[in-house]
Amino acid sequence: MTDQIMLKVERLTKTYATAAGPLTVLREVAFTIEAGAMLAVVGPSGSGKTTLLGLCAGLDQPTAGTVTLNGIELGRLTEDERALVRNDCVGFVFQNFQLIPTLTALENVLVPLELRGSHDGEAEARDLLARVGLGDRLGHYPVQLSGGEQQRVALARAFINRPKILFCDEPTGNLDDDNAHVMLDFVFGLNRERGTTLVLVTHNHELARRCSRLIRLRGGAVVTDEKVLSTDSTDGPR
Amino acid sequence: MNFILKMAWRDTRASRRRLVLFSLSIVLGVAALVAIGSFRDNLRQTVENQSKGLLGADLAVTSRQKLPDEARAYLAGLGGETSRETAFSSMIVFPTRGGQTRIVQVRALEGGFPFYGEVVTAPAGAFANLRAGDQAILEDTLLAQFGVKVGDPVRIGEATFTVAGALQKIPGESPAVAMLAPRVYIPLRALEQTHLVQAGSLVRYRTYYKFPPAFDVEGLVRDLRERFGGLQLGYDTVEHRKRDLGRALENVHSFLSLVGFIALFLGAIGVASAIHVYLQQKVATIAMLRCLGATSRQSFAIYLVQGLGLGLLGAGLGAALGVAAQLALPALFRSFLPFETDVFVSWGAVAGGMAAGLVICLLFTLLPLLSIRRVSPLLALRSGFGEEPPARDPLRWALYALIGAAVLGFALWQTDRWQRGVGFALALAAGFGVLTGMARLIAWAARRWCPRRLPFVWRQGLANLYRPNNRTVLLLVSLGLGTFLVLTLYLARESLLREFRGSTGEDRPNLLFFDIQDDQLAGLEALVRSAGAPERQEAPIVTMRVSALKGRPVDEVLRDRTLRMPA
Repeated sequence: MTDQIMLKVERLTKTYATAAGPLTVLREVAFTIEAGAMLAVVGPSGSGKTTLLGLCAGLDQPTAGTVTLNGIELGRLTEDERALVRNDCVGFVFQNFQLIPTLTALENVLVPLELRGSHDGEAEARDLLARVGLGDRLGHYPVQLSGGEQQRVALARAFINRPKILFCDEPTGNLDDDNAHVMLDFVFGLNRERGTTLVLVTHNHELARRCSRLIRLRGGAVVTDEKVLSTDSTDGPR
Repeated sequence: MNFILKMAWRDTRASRRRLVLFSLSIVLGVAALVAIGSFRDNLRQTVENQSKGLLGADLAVTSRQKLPDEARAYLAGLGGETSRETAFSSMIVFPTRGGQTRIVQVRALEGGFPFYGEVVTAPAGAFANLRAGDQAILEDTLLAQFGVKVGDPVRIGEATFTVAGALQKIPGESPAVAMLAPRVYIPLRALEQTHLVQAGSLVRYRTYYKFPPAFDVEGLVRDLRERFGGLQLGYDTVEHRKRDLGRALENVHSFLSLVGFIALFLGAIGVASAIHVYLQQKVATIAMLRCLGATSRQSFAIYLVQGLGLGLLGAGLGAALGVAAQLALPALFRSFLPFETDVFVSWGAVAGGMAAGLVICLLFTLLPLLSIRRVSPLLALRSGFGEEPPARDPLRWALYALIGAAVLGFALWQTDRWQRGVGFALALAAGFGVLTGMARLIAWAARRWCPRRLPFVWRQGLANLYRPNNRTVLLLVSLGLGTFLVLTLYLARESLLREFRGSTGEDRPNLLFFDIQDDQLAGLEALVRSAGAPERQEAPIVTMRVSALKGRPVDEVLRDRTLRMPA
């Protein structure tokens, strides 16, 4: 982990307009993450974890406050400009895998590179898929893969563009215990290997303890922000 | 661009058959436009190639009296060939068929008519025998109707002729003429033997002229109108026939093209609906692409390429079907055309039909595609909870305006008067508006007044009329416009047929005795009454000539070119 700030969140607030009136799901959340750090965001359902992840990744715009990702203030960008930032330095792993069903495993992994016009990433894509144990499933479609295998394809896709920061939203939420452990080993292993900053949203406290820092949300506000003794974090136990 | 094309192709993997099915929506509309346009071009070319066959001569001069000597001498002095015809209605008697009779159009002919085109008879070459002796050429329908054979005698007036052959086609007239008044050709020199042309007879005299090549026939007609305006002569030229035929054909073409366009319009509505449903299934994919870094333009372009491909496929299949269908059209219209149509592929019509299909399909595909711009990458994380409803989209209204302009543009292109084009577009818009309003009213009424005591199945069914993503408006508009199209065609057909049939009331007569002489009237009345057929109407026929119109002498009216009175 370095002292460079990868993600800076200041007074972040998000309010939705609903039929029943305005609904505030995040209230003045603030924190910073150094490059290479591993942050877990935990909290009960409805605490604003996923909303916070979406705002940090530039998938949504806050009602108030700022998000600065890799030195770029996302609020100043258009939707398309944020998309380009995501392609350049962000990786995603979602709870529901979110593979494109009409693409093979290899094609799914290559999409981020193809979006930026790069045509020479196939060797790396094959290598990544082999690393996650799917070297012989390159031509299979998501419907032909199990849940765990799909999530591993999603992980390979997340790392193909060498992201500076990886956002994971309940990456093991739809997996059984065995697949979940395998998946997490891959996540933390690749993360450690490449020095990627990790933001992990989960309500699994055991998983959260594998990160170096833990932010607890409740009612849209930060309740605690603490460092964690973890063997997986790049800066070692403290 | 490479990614867009690749992604557009790969994304269709699971749904190519469905997309092909969507594209079939516009196939029939494109096929109709291509077939009708090609047939029109074929006809135009045929008219140009066979224009002289439209009349069989360069000039035909018609009158109710024999052509005056001064006019005949003037025309004879211009050089060329002449052919004379005397025509009138009379009864023909078939002695070999028990004396059965039929009213026919007797044409007593002399000279080399037709100078252009050929007369088709069975047996071939029978028309030449008209000059050889007391022969008659009968309409082939007469031979079939009365079982008459070549060589049988027929009587016209007091003269007997031998049937030399059956007339199948003659330049200058369509075969449909035979339905109204079957023709019988006899030699002009034998006319006197019939004793049918007497004082007071309704006879038409026609003289055909063939002039040297490059002769200015139109100029001659203008000159003749000046010189002999008081003689009430009628003039018919190849140019007149081309213009009349062209006008009739253009009207038919415009009508059928507008019908084909409505079919295309309906198909495009179907495509838009199908694409809308298809895109709803792609929202997750689009959201994921946006997450991974695709811009809204890239996402939009992927599905625009799919829409274009769909349109190209439909337009291509439609054009192929249209080219095949055009081969059948000449056979359908053969009875109404005075010539055989040359059939060739009109690439202009193919291109026009395909372009119309592609443009309309693209415009309607853009309607659901516009929603892609608003697909948020956040949907990859969660569903639409908390999303604000979309604001009014100026681009959507611009697209509606484009569609309206395309409809209006096509209508103006097909009709020769802008009033008709505007009227067609407005009628279509009005129909669209009424059906949309009705659909919304039905959905509102279902939501407002659905009885709670109805069985579950009924309540669910009625609720689907107004639930989110319902298809009420689309289905009602499609069904309504389709019904409108079919009903328009049916009403137009009935209107045209009524013109021919006349009123079909039970009290209308179905038997007409014509040209009854004074001394025959009482006997005929008694005969008809004894047969149990009540007499409906008795009308004297008096031959008259108009001498003045609204106080102005006829000669003066005919000389007044501003009135455009026919001779």
